Amino acid sequence: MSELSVRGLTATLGGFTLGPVDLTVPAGTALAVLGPSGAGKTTLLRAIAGFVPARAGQLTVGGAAVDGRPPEERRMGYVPQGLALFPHRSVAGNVAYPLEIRGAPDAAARTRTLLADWGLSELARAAALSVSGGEQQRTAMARALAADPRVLLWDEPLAAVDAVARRALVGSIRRVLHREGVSLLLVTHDAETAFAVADRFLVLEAGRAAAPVSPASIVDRPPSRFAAEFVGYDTVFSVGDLAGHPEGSLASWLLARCGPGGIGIPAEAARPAEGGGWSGRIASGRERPGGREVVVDVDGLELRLFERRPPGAWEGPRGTGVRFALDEGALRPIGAGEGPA
Amino acid sequence: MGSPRPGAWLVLQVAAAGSLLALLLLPLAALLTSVSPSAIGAAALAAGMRAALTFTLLASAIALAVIAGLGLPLGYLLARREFRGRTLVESAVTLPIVLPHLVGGLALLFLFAPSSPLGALAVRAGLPVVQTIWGTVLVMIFVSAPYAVLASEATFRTVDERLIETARSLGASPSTAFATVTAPLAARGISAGLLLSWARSVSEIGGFLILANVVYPSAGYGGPVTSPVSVYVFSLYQIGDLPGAAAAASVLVLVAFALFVAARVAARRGSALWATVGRLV
Repeated sequence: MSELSVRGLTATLGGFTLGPVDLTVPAGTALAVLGPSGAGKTTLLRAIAGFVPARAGQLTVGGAAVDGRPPEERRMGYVPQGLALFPHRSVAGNVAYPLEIRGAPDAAARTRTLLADWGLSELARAAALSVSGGEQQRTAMARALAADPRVLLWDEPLAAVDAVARRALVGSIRRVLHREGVSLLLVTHDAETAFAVADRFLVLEAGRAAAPVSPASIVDRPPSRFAAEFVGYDTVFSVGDLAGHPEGSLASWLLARCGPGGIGIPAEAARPAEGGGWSGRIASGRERPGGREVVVDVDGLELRLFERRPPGAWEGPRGTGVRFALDEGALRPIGAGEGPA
Repeated sequence: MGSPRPGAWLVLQVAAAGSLLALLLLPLAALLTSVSPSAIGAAALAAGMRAALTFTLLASAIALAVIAGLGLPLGYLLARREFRGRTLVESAVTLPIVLPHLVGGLALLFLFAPSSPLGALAVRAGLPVVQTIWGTVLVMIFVSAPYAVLASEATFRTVDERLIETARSLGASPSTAFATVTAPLAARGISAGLLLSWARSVSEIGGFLILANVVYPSAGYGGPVTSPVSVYVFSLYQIGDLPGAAAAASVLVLVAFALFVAARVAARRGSALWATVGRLV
């Protein structure tokens, strides 16, 4: 059992204060940390890894306190942004590193197994930085697992990998989590990776964290504007964007349906309307698989809307008038539903 | 006015590089061709030259060991830690580079003259400084340590902190992370810095003229009465033996060149050596 538990963690780095942060990552599961740049995501990972001193809080792994222990005694596989592969070692040398430094008697055999598990056997002797982005990523994963960690802390683990390789790696990560019973805390800016890997989400903004939520919850009740944009709401308005418009306008209609943090509108919530509905003008448009996406200007508000193909009612140059209706059930108030999932 | 064509640009580069190389090599060529090879051979075998050269290599080896032992940690500290008075420390380290060489010798003389407290202490400890190997070593350290400290500081800065943190999270203690990650990655830069330091030690003369122009046997050096090799060549020149000075200087050029080439080859292999050391830690 290697559950990671963080209670009331606060840390200060320069003028930035993180926390208090509370989170739990059960063994074999993953928690994605989301947040805009400068929110403190990397600081959170480094504080848990032991590289940023915590001012307060308790940190346990499998029920045992690890506070105050040096990083090398925490058994946390920290992989920073950029992977930090050792450039003076080969692929195999990187994977073998944690085994060699602790004098593991079966280092060579274990390295071979890990290389084979991650499809790296053919590249064992290659210089670590000479292999492709996806291969470097697999090397970093194999190396982290060679340390026999109880917790994995990964900062943007798949940032340098193309979409196809990313999907393959995501499957491998899930399998490893279940098989090894490791807890994974990952920072990512990529919604696809987050939804594919993580069991829960923690939104961190300006050093402060809401309680972790489930994927369904973050989609259904995004706790902040950032979260709404991250999970893929195509149009997001804050209360301030909508206030001050006349009665009967689209803005006032949306304002009535807003949460404290605004409202999220999926592009698919719109459909062409023959009469009635809302009217606006096309500001731009582009083809997407299965239909056409247009940005429609309605009295200064820009909405991103999607029309399934056919019939093509929203085709036309910039300035073409369109009418549309919004499915009220698809609109999501922001910041209204945060809390434990 | 347009930018020069690629071909013209290359010609300019080659001309500039060639001119500088000529400035560096022509004087040495003039020196080496001013005496016959047999005269150079005779100078190399002369007892005075052999004693001076052996003594200089011994003293510079001791100085290099001290600089490596004390200077590299200082370089690491300057590269990795922020602390009050850091700028002052960096300025102090750089100072010997900009001082006239004689000033270094004078400063050490005032500090270690037998009449000074520290000089008296050194004499009582059996390690007198004036006109001994220890004076030579001190002058060498004073004038050359800054090169090793500054080069190692610059090199340690190039080692990404994230690599060290990753090594720590993979189970390495701070010293193991240093031996297995920092040192191998910094090996080439450190070697270059130490090489530069050593070269500066051997080429010194101003400080020696004040503190150790004649070296007498004492603890640490049991050879004949001699001088650092730079002083030895200067002495020949001063007594009017220009051919002798040229032959001795030619020996010095050839020995320095051979040692430099050997050190460069060793530095290139430094990373591999450190990687091996890292695996053994």
